[in-house]
Amino acid sequence: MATDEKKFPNFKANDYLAVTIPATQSAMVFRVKVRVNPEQMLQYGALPLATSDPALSGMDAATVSIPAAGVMPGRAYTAIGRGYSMALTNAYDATDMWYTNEDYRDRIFYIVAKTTPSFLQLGLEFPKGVQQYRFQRDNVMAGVGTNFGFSRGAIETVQFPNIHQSLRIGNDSNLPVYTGLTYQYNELIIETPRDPLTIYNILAGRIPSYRVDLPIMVQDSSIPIQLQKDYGYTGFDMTLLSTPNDAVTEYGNILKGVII
Amino acid sequence: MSPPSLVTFHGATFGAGTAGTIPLTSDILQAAVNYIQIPRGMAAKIWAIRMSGDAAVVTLGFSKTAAAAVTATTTPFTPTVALSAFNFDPTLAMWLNDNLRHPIVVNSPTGGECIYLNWVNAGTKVTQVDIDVEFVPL
Repeated sequence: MATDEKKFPNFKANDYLAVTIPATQSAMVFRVKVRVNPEQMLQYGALPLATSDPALSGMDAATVSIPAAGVMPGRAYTAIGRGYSMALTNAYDATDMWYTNEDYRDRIFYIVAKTTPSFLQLGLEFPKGVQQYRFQRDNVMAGVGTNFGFSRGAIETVQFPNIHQSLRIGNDSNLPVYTGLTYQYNELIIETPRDPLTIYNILAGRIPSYRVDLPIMVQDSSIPIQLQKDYGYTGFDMTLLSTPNDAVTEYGNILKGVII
Repeated sequence: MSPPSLVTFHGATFGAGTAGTIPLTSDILQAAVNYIQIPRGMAAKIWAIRMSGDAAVVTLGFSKTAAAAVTATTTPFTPTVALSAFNFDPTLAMWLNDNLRHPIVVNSPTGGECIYLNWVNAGTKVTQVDIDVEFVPL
C-alpha cells in the first residue's frame, strides 16, 4: 500500500496503469486515453465523523465516542465493517462520491486520500465492509486498530464502477484531533490495450507502467462479478508471466471478451 | 509510514501552586491533553519551545509507559526521565532549544512513549509555553 513518502503520479495520455489483485494473482491493465481533470487536488474538508455515529472501537477502552464533528478521538479506530464513504451532493451516488455504475466503465478514478494529521492510521475496505488486511492467510487479522497493515497519512486506490470502497481510520496517539481530508485524484478515460504481447510486457515490467496493488488479500465474490460486468474480464493471470507463450495465448483469449 | 506533521502545542502554568503538568492545547486538538502519546513507529521532533510571561522552570518529561485507558485529561504515568530543563529568562520573548535548529528527538518504538511539560514556579505567576512538535516516521 501507499506511503506518503513516495511520489504519487498524475497520469498523462498513453500512460499504462496495471491494477493488481493479489487474492486472484491477476491484474487489470489499462491505457490512459486522457486525464479529464487538469487540477488534481480536492480539498474535501473534515473526515465525516459525527457525534451521532455509533461509538468507535477503543484501543484501551471498549468504545470511544466521537466528541465533536470531524474529530477523531485518541486511542480509537473505526471497527471492521464501519468504514466511511465520502458524501458529495449531486454525485452519481451522493453518499459515496467515487461510486459509479457500468455506464461509466470508460473512466476510472486513481485516488490518493491524504489526511491531517498525517499520523492517522488509514485502511481500505474493498469492497465496503470487507476487511482485507491479513497476515499468513487468515492467521492474523491486521489493519487499522492493530499494530500493522495500515498506512499513515495517505492511501492510494483505484475506483472501478459498481464497487463501493470505504475508509477505516485509527488514532493510536492520545490526541483528540480535528481531521482534514485532501484527495489527489485522476479521472481517467481508459481502454484496455488490445495487443496480448503488450499486456504481457506491461505485467512483466518490460513496458513502463504504474502499478497499484489493491488491498484485496481475500477475494470477495462481488469483485469478479462486477469486474466481469464492467470490463468483460476479471484480470490477466500473473502466474503465467514465467511462460510468455502461454501468457500471450491466454491474454489473447481474454481480450476477445473485453468490453472496453 | 507517514509524511511529517508539524504541530504547535500551547500551554500555561496555572497561576496557583508551585508545580504541575501543563495542559496542552492546539489548533488540531478538540480538548486539552496533559501529555502527547507518540504513535507507534514514529518519533517526535521537538523543534522549538517558546516561553513568555513570568519566570519558570519548564521540564520536558518523557515516559515509556503511557498507561492503558488513558484519557485526554489524566496523567496516568510517573515521569521517569527529564530530557531537558529550560530556565526561562523573562527578558527573552522566544527561546529556541538550539540555535542550530537541531531538534530534541523522542522515539516511540512501542507506541507507549509520551512527552509532557512540567513546570516549577512560584504562586500566582503565569508562564505561557509553546512547543513545536513534528511527528515523523522512525
